[in-house]
Amino acid sequence: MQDPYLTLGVARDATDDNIHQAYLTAIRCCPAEQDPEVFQSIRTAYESIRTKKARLEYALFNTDLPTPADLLERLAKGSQPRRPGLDLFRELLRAGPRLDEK
Amino acid sequence: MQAGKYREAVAAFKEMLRQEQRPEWIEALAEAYAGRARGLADKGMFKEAAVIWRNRAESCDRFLAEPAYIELLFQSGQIESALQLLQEQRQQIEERGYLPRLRLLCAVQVLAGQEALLDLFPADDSLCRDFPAALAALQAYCSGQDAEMEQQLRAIPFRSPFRDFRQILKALSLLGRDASAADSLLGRVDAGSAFHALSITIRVSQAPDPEFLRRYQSMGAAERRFATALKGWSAQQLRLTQELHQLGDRPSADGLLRFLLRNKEILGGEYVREIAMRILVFHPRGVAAYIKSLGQLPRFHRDRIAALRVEEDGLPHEIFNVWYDVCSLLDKSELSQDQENSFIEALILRRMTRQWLRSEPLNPPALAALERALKCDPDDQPSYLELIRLYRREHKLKEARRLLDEALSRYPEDTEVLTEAVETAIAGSAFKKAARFARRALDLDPINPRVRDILLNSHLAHARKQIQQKKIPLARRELEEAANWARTEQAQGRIDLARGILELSGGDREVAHRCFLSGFERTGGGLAGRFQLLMEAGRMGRPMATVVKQARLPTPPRPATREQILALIHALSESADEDEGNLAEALACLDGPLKRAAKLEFSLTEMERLCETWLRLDQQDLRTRYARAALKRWPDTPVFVFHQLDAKQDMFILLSPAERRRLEAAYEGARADGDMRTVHRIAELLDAGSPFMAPDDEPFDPFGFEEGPESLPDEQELEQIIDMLMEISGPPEVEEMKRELGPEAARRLLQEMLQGNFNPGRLDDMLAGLPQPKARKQSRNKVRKDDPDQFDLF
Repeated sequence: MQDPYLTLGVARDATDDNIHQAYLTAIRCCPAEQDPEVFQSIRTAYESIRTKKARLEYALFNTDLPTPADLLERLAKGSQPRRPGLDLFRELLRAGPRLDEK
Repeated sequence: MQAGKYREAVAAFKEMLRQEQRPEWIEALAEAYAGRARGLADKGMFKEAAVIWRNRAESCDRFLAEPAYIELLFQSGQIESALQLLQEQRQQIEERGYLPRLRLLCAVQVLAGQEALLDLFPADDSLCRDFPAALAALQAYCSGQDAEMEQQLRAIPFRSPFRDFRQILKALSLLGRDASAADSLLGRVDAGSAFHALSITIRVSQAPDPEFLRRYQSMGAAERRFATALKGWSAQQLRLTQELHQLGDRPSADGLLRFLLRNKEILGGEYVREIAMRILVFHPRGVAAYIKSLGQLPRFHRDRIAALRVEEDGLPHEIFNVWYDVCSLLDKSELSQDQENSFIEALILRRMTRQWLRSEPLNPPALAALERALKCDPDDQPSYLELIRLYRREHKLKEARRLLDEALSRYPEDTEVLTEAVETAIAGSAFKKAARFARRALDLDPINPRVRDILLNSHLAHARKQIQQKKIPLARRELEEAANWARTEQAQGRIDLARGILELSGGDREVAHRCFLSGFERTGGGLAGRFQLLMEAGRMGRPMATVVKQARLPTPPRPATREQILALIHALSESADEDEGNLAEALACLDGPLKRAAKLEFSLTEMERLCETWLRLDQQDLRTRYARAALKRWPDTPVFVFHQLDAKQDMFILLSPAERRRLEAAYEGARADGDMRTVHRIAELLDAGSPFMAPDDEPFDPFGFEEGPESLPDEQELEQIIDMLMEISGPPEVEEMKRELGPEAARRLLQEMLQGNFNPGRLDDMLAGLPQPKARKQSRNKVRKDDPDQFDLF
């Protein structure tokens, strides 16, 4: 299972209310009919940390190790896409291709 | 050349041309040079590729200023050389038709800042004409002025050398809003386009992170800088991401732990602590690295981790005991004030009982623990349901009712609780009460199949009671009521069978016969239908064989078919709550066909299911026959060896040494197959036969030196093993020894045990001269209030 805190984008000390709000926001962004798989992962995450007791249970017994993707997501938290500057455009255009389609 | 070995191809063709100047070989040499140059350019060696291209022109008498060569000059930064060549060869370039392609290459370069290239083209050339708009659009994009960018892009016509650049800028402006539209625009940039590198870099930067990291490895420096800027990653983030990528898709526990500990400041200390503790469940040796980086591991967590480790392959009572120790570390005195501690205790108690109760439903310590959990956390509906079911199943109705009353007062409108109330009332023959609860449940949930079934069974049970008391009209009314709740043919069939017996009691044999026939067919006919009639007779206290005779059912085929046996097994699996005496009697009536059917061609899974059914119903003779038949087809299959010999033992026949050896072989076979259920069952069977021996007939051997004294470790190995066992969070037995005897004595004992010298009678001699363990403090197992790490679960 993916880290439910990461899935819902809440801190590890989030309250019931914080988690509920995050859940509502997440399912509004990704309704079941749009992407059932993502919706299900949001739902699973919510169920696993919805209440204080559920969060304690998760902390006491969960032994799932994070996947590299989980850690990457955590690392990416807070980073906002930026627009590269003119200098970076020029550098790339000058250098030409290294990447191919694959 | 077909293998892409262009360097070798160049050498070979040159050698051939030294012997004879054939035109086709010159052509082939030119092709080999071009391939070699492309290969170098793919590796980013543009300068070297340009040299190869010049060699090609000289050796093969080719025109040098081809677009591919000019592109290499651009890419290797030799802009002056390119400019000079283009000026010198302007006419030839035009004559050879290279100008459109070179115009596109120049479009990229002028945007990259090489505006001198514009001088090569007349002022009214599309390159010169559209460049100002393209540059202005780029600058507007970079400074976030999308409206201005749109306006500038509109000035670039469809045939412009900047047309691909226009798509790319549009896509970039869409990235945050409509990723799929952006991707579709980028996908339209042709692979041959001079702007292809830019579009690919943007698309890769938008790929999921693992894919991005894979592609990142083959990027050039400029592409990397551009892509990470677009993603908004800092240099530190990029470093960590690369580090993580090097660990692979499935990092080892050790690799993951070290990564987390190395980067704990960036990932967050609390997060790293939580994940690192999870890793220790699978990687106990990581504890030293954990302590070094994050400080002491609190006792509670150390024992919790050890318990989770035992869960991996421990027996239910071992799991119970190890969690029990964890629970004992909780500060009970704070339970009333501290809700979190109460929850923790309740959660642990429930967890540690789960597996044990599954294999031993009425095991007193587990039941006590589950009841204790309800005291710690009384608002847990599933626990009430579980306990009510457990007590009811074991006919402890007083206990079931006590919990039911508590549950009903807490959840008066919960259909699951009401359903349990119905079942418990039926179990106590309180049919009217059961019907009352059922109606309440159906008021809340009108389509509740379980309650409907229970209600049906309740009316049927009531009808049976009336038939037994010869209250025929009342019984008939009850059966009519039951029919109202019957959802399936099977259920209707059961009512028909009951009605048949009712009509027999009333003396109308013809009506009874019609009812029996209808019920027989509706419950599946064959052995299954016959079994249902036998059971119905048993439930009403009638002699089964007589009722079957009176029913005049069609004669069953001999032998029974595989389908008939499987249908009967299905019927039996639905009769879990039936009276055991009735079940045994009904099966005895079917004994002949069942014995003969052991020879039928069942699949392995079906045979296993059959053996399990006979085990559950304590039909050891049938179990032996079916297991034996299975072993004829699948010799030495561990599960069937177990069934055959366990059935024998259940019939109080001692196992011979040869049979014990067969069991031991089956134990190893099941372990090799990963069939842990059979492993545990065989271990228990062997232990039952010889309580002081392990499965391999060797003395208890906790360290696995099962090959005898010659395999005992040497002194150095011995020290290493002891160090490993003595380390923090080692095996629970060693932890216990350390606690009880002190570390030095524990070490001495381990030495004696590992060398095979341990003798419990000489314990005092062995420990003579060693320091006594410190007396336990009263509060040792309690949680210190001032220990901030004790419950740092969040």
